Amino acid sequence: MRTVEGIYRAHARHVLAYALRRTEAATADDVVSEVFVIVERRLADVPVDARPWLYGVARRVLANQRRSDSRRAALQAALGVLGRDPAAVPAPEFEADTPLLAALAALRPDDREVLMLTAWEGLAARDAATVLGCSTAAVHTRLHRARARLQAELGRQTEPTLPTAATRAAR
Amino acid sequence: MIDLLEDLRDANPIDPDTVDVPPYARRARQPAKRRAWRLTLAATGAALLIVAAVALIPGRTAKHNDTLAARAYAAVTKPGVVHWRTALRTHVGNQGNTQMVTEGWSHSGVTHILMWELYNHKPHLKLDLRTANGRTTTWSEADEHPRQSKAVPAGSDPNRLGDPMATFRRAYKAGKLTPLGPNRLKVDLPGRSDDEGDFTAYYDIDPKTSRPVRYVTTQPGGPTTTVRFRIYETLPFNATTRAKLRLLDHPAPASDSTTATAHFAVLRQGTAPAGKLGVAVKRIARSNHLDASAARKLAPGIALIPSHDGVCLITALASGTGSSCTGLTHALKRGLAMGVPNPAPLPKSARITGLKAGIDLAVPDGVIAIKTRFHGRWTRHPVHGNFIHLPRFSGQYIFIRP
Repeated sequence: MRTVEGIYRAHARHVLAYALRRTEAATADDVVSEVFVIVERRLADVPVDARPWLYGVARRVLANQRRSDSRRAALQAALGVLGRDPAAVPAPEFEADTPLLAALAALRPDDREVLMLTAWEGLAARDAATVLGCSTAAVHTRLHRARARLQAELGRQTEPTLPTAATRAAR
Repeated sequence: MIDLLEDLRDANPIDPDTVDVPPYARRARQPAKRRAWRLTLAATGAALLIVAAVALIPGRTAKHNDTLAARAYAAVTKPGVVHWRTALRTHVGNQGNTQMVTEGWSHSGVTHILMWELYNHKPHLKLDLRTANGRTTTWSEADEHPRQSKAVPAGSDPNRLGDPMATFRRAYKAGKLTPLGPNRLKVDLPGRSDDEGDFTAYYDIDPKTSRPVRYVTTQPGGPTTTVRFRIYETLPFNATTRAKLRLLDHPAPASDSTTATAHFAVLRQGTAPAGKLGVAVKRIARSNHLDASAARKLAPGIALIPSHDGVCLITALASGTGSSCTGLTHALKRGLAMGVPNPAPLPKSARITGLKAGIDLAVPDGVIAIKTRFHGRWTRHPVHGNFIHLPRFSGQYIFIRP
């Protein structure tokens, strides 16, 4: 018989890694906690191959967190009298410290997500479709376009800049 | 293109094998305090009862001091004024439905709570709830009139307005908290009535401070509610705390009769109405549940009286008696008027009753003049005190403040 504990043991670190790639550590812990609350509540709905389903839940939990953060920031601004909450500061994602990661960070969220699911979570198109809530064909299309956009963005990131008049004068 | 995806794989910033996931904690057996209580009572009798009771106070024994529940219980059970601010979000499925911010304090059975709802990212005050001596006074945006009722005892719903950790404390004392992982405690809360339903609550505790971070409640087939703690603290009962909790002053119309008094000098310094006016005031105050002793004479035949959420003007003139009330917010902005604004010819019946065209206007403190307009021309009328009679104007007027 499947138990929450068994699912936790098998997949918690992958869910945490998924969250850590998309948000900062404290929020990632929150996301994992919330995902397994949902698992406990919907144990009967968890498929045998649980990981894509768990990623899908984590994705929605993260989206809720982000919406909640933006609302909270607006509320904090409106309730200035109550002081500012440091938690309202938007969470950073992965550090874009290489041209490739900078290019990835510059993509639209939908493009970035499908690339990350494929490259970092190592999901096949069928599993990525479960996470994204779309068809496998749609994942193939999105992935194709996202890779093209990443290539184009990477070209822009690594393109040598022409010397400006000021730099020419300095020489 | 394939190489690019390979490069991306190599750039993966997080390896799942290196992340540190806390072990999944098994359900701990129920705290043994109830069993121990019975055994102690049976074995040692009344002489040891006191000793046993001291040993069984939650959070006091060495054994229970080590558990997350005991540490969390100790962190939220301290003497003093409990002050909290929480953000609540209710959602069904993936649809966020309600967002609220609640701030409140509680001390020795006295509680004051303000609740805002968020619409379009802006907070709107919806509720002001004050409980003392077993009675609750509730102001809601819906009717603006404070209502009094008997204080309702806490049920199973942890989201009911009040100290947000009260349910947690009850669950701890009853030994119903189950650890779920290193930072989480779970409790099943059977509803006390069919209307209330059953709840499951999950409390997330900060492992460093043992203070609550948030809790999530779920109901079978019902909504999921997440409550995040922005503040949960216990303050000493002193002047500093009282000053701090003035944050909770109600920004809406007054819930007692003192606020109108603060804005109309005549209510503080004037004389009580007498004669025909006094009789009219008593009669109108009785039928409108107002305090007749707070009424003050504003002008001959005219009195001002504070109401529950604003102020009323009462007249006892040759033309008859009457009253007009308004909320304090409106009274401060536009004053409180009675009379006939248009100088159009009055009907014969008006001559019989002695009615004259013109407006009697009660104005709040700080207004030095009123500009009125009649046929496109603005006229300035100086104001002395809280009253002015305007003989004619077309309805437009502006308060002039220094």
